[in-house]
Amino acid sequence: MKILAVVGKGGVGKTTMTYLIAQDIINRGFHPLLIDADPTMSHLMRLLGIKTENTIENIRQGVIRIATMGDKSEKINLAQNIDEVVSDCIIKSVDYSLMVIGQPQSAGCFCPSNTLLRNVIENISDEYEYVIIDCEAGMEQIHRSVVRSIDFLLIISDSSLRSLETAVKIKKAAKKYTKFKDYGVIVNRLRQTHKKAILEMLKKKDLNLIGTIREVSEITNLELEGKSLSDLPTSSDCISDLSQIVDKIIKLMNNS
Amino acid sequence: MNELDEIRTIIEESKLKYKNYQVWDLASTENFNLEQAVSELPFNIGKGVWKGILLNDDVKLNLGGKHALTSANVLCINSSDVIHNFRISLIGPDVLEISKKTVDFAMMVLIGGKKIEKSVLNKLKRTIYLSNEIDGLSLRSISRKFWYQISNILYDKQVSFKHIGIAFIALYLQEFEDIIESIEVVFIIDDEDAILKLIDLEPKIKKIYSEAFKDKIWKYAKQRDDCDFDWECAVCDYQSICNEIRNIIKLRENKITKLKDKNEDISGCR
Ligand SMILES: Nc1ncnc2c1ncn2[C@@H]1O[C@H](COP(=O)(O)OP(=O)(O)O)[C@@H](O)[C@H]1O
Ligand SMILES: [Mg+2]
Repeated sequence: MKILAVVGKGGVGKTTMTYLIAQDIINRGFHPLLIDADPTMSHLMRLLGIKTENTIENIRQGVIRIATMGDKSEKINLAQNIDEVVSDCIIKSVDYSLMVIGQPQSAGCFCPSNTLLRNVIENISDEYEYVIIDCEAGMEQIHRSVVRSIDFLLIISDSSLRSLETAVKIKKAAKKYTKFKDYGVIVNRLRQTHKKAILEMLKKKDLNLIGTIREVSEITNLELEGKSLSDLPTSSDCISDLSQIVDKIIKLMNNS
Repeated sequence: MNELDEIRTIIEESKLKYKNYQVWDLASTENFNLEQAVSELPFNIGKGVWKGILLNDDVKLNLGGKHALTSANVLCINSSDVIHNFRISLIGPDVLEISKKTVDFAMMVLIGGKKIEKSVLNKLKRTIYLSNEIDGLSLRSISRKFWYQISNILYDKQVSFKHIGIAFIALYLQEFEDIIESIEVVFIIDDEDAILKLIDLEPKIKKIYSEAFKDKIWKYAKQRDDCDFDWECAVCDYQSICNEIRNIIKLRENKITKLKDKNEDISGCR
């Protein structure tokens, strides 16, 4: 099992990249587990054309309720069945599985409930070859409530200085809060005219570049027409660019 | 300017700007008796009266929130005459006049007493983070943000900030009667400017407490598992629930190791 976490400043293209990487991994014949850790509006669910109310956060509420009001047998029952309950909240399609973390909803932080669910998620993740997390939420929260260790931290940045600075901060924060074995940066929506300057900047900031994706007009068009990314023509060169990136990531993950 | 002066200035500016304010000077009402005022509250107060967890549908009003400003603080002064004893001030609309589901919210409890010592500061601060002593008023928190929630039931009892103020005063006096000489409560609703200023003031006030807290924070930090609360955990009312959940974690782990053993048994048979 290999875990890939996709992180970056809001709006840089994390969810888009998560989706396209997942497609590529599916095309390689794997069935990945996608974890949507966007606590607010889930773009990933929209891209996949899925709507669900079954979130990990809802289960957490149930855990807290049983811990508060349940009797002994309910608690034993919960301990014995929690893995199944979480498994049931995963949406399973032919090509992939999707787990939605959801929005925190409770008085108090009940940290041990995060620990419990994280243990379960780690256990379930073990059944998949690849797990891809769309980390809209910060690294700290991913570590606390989703998984403790990550095989590859994929930082998405756009061509702006601010976004690159965020990338540096994310790398630092990730070092502090979580275990990751390797990392790399994708510069998304890159304009050719900026390429040189950005590559230099990455070097200066000591960030490993793993690949670049240009501004893709087909993506913008789909967005404008209200269509899903699944309608992206397979001839679009961003798909082959991304496939090369996935190649590298898979190699790096298997080496580490 | 000291912290009290700064708070007073923020309050006065807010009053001037909004003109919508009320002051209940309980001590100046004839024959005021706190015990009686408490018995006339439309809700119960005291240890453990409120055990519920409010889910979204049960909430009428969020005082502060995930996407709103919240500030709640206690300032202790070693002299009693600068605090208006038994005064509750409200700047902005009262509970029943609020039509939104969430408002920016600040609450300041000002306490005066010559006998207040460093060692009780932490306990004094704890009381405003109580989440189970006012029936229907809940405290919610997610990673370092916290806010209060008024349940539908509490709202339907026509609750006012005056009641909530009395409740906090009574809860304080219940526990610290011998050291509190004067106590005053201020609420500010939906004045972003003023609340931001109070939030800015928090670190300064926190500093007063931090010395007294240091040991406790450190002690707690050692035993907590994966908690991102600073020291709030140490004053959290849900610790017993967290312990229950820890038991559930253990039960689950036992089950998993048993399963593993069993699988090994089976493979051994073959
Ligand atoms: N390479 C690209 N070319 C054109 N548009 C893009 C590209 N990458 C992302 N976008 C667009 O940018 C917006 C934000 O992307 P999204 O994946 O939702 O970001 P995030 O998940 O980081 O918030 C979306 O409208 C998406 O269609
Ligand atoms: Mg997103």
